[in-house]
Amino acid sequence: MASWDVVVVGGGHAGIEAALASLRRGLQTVLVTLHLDMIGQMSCNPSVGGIGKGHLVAEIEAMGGGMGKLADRSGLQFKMLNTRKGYAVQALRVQTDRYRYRDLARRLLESYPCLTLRQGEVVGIERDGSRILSLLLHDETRIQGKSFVLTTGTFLSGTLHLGLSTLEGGRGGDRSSRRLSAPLSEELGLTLGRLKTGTPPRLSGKTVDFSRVLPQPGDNPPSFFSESSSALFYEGDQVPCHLTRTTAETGEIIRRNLDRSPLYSGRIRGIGPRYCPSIEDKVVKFPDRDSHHIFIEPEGLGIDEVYPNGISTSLPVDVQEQVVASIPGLEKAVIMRPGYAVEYDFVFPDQLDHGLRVRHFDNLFLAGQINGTTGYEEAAGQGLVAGINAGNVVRDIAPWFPARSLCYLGVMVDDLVTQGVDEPYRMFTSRAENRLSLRYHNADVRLSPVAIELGLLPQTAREGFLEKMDRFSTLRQEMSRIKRGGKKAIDWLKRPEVTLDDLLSEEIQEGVNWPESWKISFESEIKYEGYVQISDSRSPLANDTPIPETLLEEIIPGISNEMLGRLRKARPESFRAAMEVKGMTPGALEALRMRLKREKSIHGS
Amino acid sequence: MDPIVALVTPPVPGPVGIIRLSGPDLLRQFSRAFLSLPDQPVPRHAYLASVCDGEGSPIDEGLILYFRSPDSFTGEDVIECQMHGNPHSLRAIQKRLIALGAREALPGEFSYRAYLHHKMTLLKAESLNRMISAPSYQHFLGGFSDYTAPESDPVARLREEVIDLLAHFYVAVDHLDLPEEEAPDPENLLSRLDHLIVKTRTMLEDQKKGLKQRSGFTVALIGHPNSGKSSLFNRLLGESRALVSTVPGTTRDVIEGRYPTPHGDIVLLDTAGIRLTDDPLEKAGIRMTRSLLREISLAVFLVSPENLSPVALSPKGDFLTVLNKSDLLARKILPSLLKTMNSRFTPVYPVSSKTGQGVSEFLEALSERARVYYEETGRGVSGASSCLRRDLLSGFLRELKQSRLALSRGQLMEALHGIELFRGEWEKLFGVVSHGEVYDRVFASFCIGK
Repeated sequence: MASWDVVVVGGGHAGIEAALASLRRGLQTVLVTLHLDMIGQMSCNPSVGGIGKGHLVAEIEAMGGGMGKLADRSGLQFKMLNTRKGYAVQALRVQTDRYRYRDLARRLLESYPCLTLRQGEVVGIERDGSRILSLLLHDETRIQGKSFVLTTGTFLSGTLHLGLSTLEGGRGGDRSSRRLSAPLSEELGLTLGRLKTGTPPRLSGKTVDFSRVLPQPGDNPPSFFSESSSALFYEGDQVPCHLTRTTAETGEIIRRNLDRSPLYSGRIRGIGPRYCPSIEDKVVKFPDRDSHHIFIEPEGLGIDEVYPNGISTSLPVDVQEQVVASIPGLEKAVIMRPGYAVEYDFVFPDQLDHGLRVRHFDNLFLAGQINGTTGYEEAAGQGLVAGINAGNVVRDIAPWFPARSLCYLGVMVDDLVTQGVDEPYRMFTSRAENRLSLRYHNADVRLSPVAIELGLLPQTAREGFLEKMDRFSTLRQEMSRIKRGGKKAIDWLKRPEVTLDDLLSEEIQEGVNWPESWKISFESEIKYEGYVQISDSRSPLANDTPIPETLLEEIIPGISNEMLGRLRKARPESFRAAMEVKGMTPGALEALRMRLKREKSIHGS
Repeated sequence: MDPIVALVTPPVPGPVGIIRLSGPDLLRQFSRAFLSLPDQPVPRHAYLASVCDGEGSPIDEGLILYFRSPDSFTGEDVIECQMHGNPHSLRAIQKRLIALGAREALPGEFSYRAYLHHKMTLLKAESLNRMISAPSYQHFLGGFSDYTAPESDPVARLREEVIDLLAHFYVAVDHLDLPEEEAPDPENLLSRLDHLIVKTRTMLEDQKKGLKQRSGFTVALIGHPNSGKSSLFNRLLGESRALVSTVPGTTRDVIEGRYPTPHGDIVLLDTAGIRLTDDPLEKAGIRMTRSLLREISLAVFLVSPENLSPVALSPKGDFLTVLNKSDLLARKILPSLLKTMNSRFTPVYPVSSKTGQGVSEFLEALSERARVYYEETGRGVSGASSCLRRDLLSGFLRELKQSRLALSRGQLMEALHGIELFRGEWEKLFGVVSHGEVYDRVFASFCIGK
């Protein structure tokens, strides 16, 4: 019977990144998925990155992951967001050719000799105590492994809603995984919940009147996620998006047909993401607004289909047709695939540790939408963390817990496992209290050293990074030496209005020929240094005092049973995490702080 | 937590003395200290029972009340013994309870436990302290209204605006990829900040005023070393000497005493002597007295025949001069001396702390000013002024200003940074501000997401 080091279930963005993390370390890896042709499919809009999400992609790239490169090499349009708002808010967003993305993802995986791809549905899990031994496929094949990563996405007992009719499925046109929920809850003892998400109808581009919509061009020249990317994959210009908006009539149509909406007729019970609302939700919750914007995004180069981002809906097809026709530019647009909502099972993520391992199993990891998140980037980020730790189990080394103060990956994982989710979780920069130091442009400075230590960074990337750091320190030295008007060049650079280009000269040669991304990275590093220090010393939120695992099991003076119950459930690993536990009172936190202080004085740490 | 015990009435003979005991599971540990108290006493029921010593013989008889956790002042089990008010018998009872495992409570420890057990917020504890030390009934009422509804004060409502502000910032940092006309307007953030700055500043001024008012009619005795400040202080307080205490914290060199009048207390402050010196420690003392001058209601400058020169401090408000040790002067010199002095510092009260001469006239003058003070300010005592609030507001104002500066330079994240760091301070007083709570606000007011 064949056996692998790491078994990854699911070929979405979490599964790809988990498998790649394992493959980069040369581990024997098998990726099991329902449909091999759908590896790397973008089920929702054809775009990667954005605020918060782009930060995650940059962090994945800094650790040698695949998502950034795949997006770069299938990119149709590149846009650095918030270029006028300061470096700490910036992030890249790429519109991609979804067909090419999928194709490249599979090719990238297959380029590793130690990978096996296997089509099949997982229907059973075999274990010995706290150790998972193997997975059972629908065709009675047994997949043995040392470590397992489940990334079931929206496929776990997925149900599609279109109007008042429902259909089993994990994505439009794809079947779902029906037989895995039961073993997860009954045999593995995991608590499952149900979430919902949705998509808009896809339209035929030929039938869109582009003279009535506003073009939204990309950046020229484009920036890329990966330092190894340098140009578009095709000859020619970037493909623009287009902007249009719903009208008062759209709202009318939706209101008139709400009784046929599965959302408003009570058919859908799963909780949907508030920040990715259906057009029904927008109309009902904001009745005063007679217009909501819609971005028309290209689905692929030379592909007719377009994605009208902003009208996610599960209304019946005839209503969708009316809705589309009520929008300027889309009056005659033909629907190629109707929009739909999908409900699916997820595992409450407070059952995981900070390495995304199921707490009561030695070698079972979960990543992506199964943990109650939404978004490709969130899924990929978790896939990376889970894949690394699955590999660490194989290698028998300590798990990697990404720190909240180090990266968005850490913020996400910490939020998930200490607070759980009550709606699909999406990354926001506002979730990261250390956001001034967790910048898009310094992801490699923060994470590449970790990746090198874990053996995740391929040689060229490693050498590239080390050289970059070398050059950075050379420039820093030069700028600390050279003075202008009695002030060190480096101090000039700290001023908000001064850019690196203003200071480079004959005296300061290093930096002159640097790529733009390096310049930004260096400049922002200098500019934010002061803030980083403030944040570390003054922030009550950055209180990383660890809470020993056994501490919460005792009775802590001054903490009521109710509060203690909450803490025990959330299992915060630091005082800061405890502060974020829902419903904590200042009194309980103060008592916990006192208890931790005592702990510290006893153990003298 | 270990059980704590304290005598909660003054240790002076009186009809009743109350001993309070608080801790977890008190009955198990302490029931043997009580005679004729049921094994499971009904909570909040008054039992006539005795407290007995280690041999089982009664020490004293009184009313025993049992409060079961969490329905008590501290949130723990509480036993209150209302005994005869003899300091010696009360001490014997305390000793007995300590022998059974209780520890003498630290000052304020019962309130602190109430705070730890969520019976009381910090603000409530603070207003409780204010009620107890209120210099007049009006002041007491101010503290009481704050005690009963601390959340209804304007500062608590400001927390809501802070969440709103954070929500707007969150939208601004996370959803700026909206098309121009949908994106939240940075100008809007600026005007929000401006609005909050004005509001916070006004509230801070109110707090400062309220705090000054809150301390009542305060009179500071200021003078050269050996001008007889302390002896005058003691003479004025006479029998009320028991009320003298050192004031903790910033004014460590100031001794406070209270002279009760029907309108409210005269709060007397005995300060360190003022002399011109290069000694850094004494310089610090002078600086402190100088800032004290801004906070008091009346300054009393003391001079004595040994040193008639005025102290090197100019009064900021109302002031009187006292010529102390007037017994040292020959009776004939005094009127002419007063005449010259009156022309410079008016009015001057000749007083002898030693003989008591002039003290009652001086006290009368103080009482009259106290009456005017309490009549004028008593009605407007603000309920919700406190040091915690003042410090919160002044820190917040600082962050708001910095944030505004950053925002005006277009540095959005930097502008958010300080406010967010300061979130912890709000949390201390008004409960945790979670990301979820802020985001609830975001979704209530913005249609975000594609």
